[in-house]
Amino acid sequence: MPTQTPARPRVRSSTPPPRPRRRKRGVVGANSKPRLVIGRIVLVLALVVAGLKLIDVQGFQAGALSAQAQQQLQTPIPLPANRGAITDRNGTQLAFSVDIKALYAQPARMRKDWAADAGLHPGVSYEQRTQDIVDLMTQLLGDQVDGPTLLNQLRSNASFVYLDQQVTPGVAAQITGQYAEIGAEDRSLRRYPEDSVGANIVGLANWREDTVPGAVGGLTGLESAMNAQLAGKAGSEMVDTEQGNNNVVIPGSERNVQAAVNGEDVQLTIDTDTQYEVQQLLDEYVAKTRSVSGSAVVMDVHTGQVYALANNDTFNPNQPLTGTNTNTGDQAVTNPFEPGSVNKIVTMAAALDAGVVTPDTVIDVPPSLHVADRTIHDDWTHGDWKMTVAGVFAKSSNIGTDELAQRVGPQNYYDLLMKMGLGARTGVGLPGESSGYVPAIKNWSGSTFANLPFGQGLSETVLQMAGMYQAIANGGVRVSPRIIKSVTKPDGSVVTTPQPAGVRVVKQQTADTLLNMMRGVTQKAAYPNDATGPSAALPGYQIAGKTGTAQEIDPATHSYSDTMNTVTFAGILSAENPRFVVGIMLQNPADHAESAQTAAPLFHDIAAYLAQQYALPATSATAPFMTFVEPQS
Amino acid sequence: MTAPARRTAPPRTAPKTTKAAPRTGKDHEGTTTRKTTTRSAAARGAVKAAPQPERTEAAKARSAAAERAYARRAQRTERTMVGPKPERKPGSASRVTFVVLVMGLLIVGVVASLWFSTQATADAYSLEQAKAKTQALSQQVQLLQQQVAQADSAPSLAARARALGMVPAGDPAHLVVGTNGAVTVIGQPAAATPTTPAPPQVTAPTGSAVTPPSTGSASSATPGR
Repeated sequence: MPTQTPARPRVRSSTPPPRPRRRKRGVVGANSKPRLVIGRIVLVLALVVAGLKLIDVQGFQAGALSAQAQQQLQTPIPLPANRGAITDRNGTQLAFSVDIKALYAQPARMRKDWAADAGLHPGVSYEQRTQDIVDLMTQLLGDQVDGPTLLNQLRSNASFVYLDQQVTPGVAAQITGQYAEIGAEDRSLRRYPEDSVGANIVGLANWREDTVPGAVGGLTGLESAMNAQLAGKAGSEMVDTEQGNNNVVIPGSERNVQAAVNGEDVQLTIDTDTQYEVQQLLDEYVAKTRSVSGSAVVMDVHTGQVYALANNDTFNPNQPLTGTNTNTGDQAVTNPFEPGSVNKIVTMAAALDAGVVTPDTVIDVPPSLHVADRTIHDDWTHGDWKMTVAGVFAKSSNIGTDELAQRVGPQNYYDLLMKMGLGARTGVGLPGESSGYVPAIKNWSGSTFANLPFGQGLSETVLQMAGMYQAIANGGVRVSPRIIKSVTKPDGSVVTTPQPAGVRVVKQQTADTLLNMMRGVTQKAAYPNDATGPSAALPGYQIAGKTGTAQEIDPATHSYSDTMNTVTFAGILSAENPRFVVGIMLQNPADHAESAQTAAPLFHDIAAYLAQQYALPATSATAPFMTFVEPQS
Repeated sequence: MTAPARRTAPPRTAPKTTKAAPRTGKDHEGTTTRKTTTRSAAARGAVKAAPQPERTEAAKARSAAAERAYARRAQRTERTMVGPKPERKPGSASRVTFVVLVMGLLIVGVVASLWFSTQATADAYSLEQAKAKTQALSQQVQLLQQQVAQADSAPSLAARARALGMVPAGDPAHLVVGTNGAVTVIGQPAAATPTTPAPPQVTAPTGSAVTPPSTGSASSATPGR
């Protein structure tokens, strides 16, 4: 072309007539025409190809490609909800969540990659590499990991192994930073700083993979029963992120945001220190008396709030549930028992409330009593005694109690059983609560009303048992026990559990009379004015209460056993200034010494602790002496 | 029978279209020829690439009617060129300012939005760093809170008290001040003595599985387990 351009003007200027110009053009055209044609064809073809590709890309592959692009760009971010904490009445934490990491590896792939990149690390074998990893892990994690086990895991051909599922994020970052082949997964761990204290109430929650994203889920206790409230609701959002770093979010790309709703914090009425002490004392006492099991409850007289609810051998939620660490239940609310003499309070309250007797009323107590087809005996042999009503109660006479029940009548007695809350759940707020069992009055046989007044033929939980004494200590108004004090919503609002409406079970005067009469149980006096529970007495406080010993059903003979007893005690601290009700149940103490067949000493220990812990005012006044047995005339 | 019928069908309609075509074709030709002559004249001029002399040459070749038409066009353009010009002058100045203003605004807007989006993207990185730092710090807070809760727990305190040789006090004696000011001692004051050997604890405070080795002092501070 450059050779032709200078020629053109010459041609034009020298030959203006059209013909040579045409010829000249023709000459140019002779060279350019095929080129133009080819160029045109090439261009058209290129256009066609481009067009076809465009149609292909925009039409046929559009969906797949845009999805692929989105996949490279967009990252779903899970927004985990924080699980609520469980605290005691003073705000001491009983359960809370912490962030941890689970370290994992893909040994099969690791080995392959290591071999493939052999050039990058000459002279270092895979064995050496894994040894280095394990060395660092044992150095950082100490006893938490076992070196040889880790080595075996890393050198296996498994496609995926968890090396350690409970590593603090800082330590995990150290390990994954140094060895990129080790991965870390986000986890949440439930911590129970008080270990086994209150574990029967709080329960246990562990990490679950059955939800997306994985979360801590309740397994037992309140962690399970209140799981939905504690867990909250996990959210998620879709964001665009930088390639290779999902943490760099492209601004303004957040979409499909479903904010996480954090869980609610639960505050219990439990006092951790009291709970600890009661658990300790109960454990010691159960061990001492070689009982099969034991439960104890401490309740506020006026509010029905549970300050402590203990079982022996409660598990430690921070340890694996193996060996001796398996008692995850809460027998104090789930296991009803035949109460025995401790239930004579109902008969006494009915008799006093009906006005058929007063504590000083003297009744004739024969050596044995025939009721329907049964012959009733007392725990001790005696002649024909004249006992006061207070004496019948304090010395726990079955015969005297049955006589009083006969004066009251079955319907009045049954009505009071119902008002006392027996045979119905207390609604304390704990899972698996038993309602106990009271036979319906229409199903009673003649002997039923012979057994019930002294606490056989019906069952109740230790909580229900304490509830009856709470009613008497509270001037005759029973307030159902509660263990959840308040719930704090994610927005910070506190929903306090309302105190249940009181149920009047007996007249105020009856309650006061009975409360004073119950002081006789702890009276220390010479025979025959001795009582069943002097070891429950606490200097400076007038203790009102009642002992109980009920025969258990022998599973071999299906009848009442002569050796297996349920030992109970329910007491009030104190009669002149009621503050706490303590209920204790020991199942089948193997020690048959008289000192071991009573729970009164344990009540004493718990009451002594409560008096100090809550600085209850002591009084110099002592309970007046009560005559239980009238001298023989 | 059906096949021939089909075959014969097109010829029937075909003449119709051929007949119709010339009718409309005539009109088209009439207009298009005029257009093409003017177009080709212009094209020719362009191809010749010598506009001024050739146009005059071409004008000579044009018919009188065409000449007149050219004259009219020239007149028209002159009129439009000359007439409105002085009137528009002041207005166009403000229009220029307006256009410049709009362009300026556009440029400023584009630059600003570019700058802001760049800034936001840059911030995303510092945000990421800040988030990572916050996370690390909150994890540290969690760890410390956990250690405090652990050390503050009843079992841990009891164990440490026992390790210091402390024993439960037993039944205390009370001093009760009467209304007359007289002090009565209730109970028998007695020194606390270890009654039974310290019972095995319900559970030993666990050296937390998530306690890093650097904070081993927390677990070593709970002897007696």
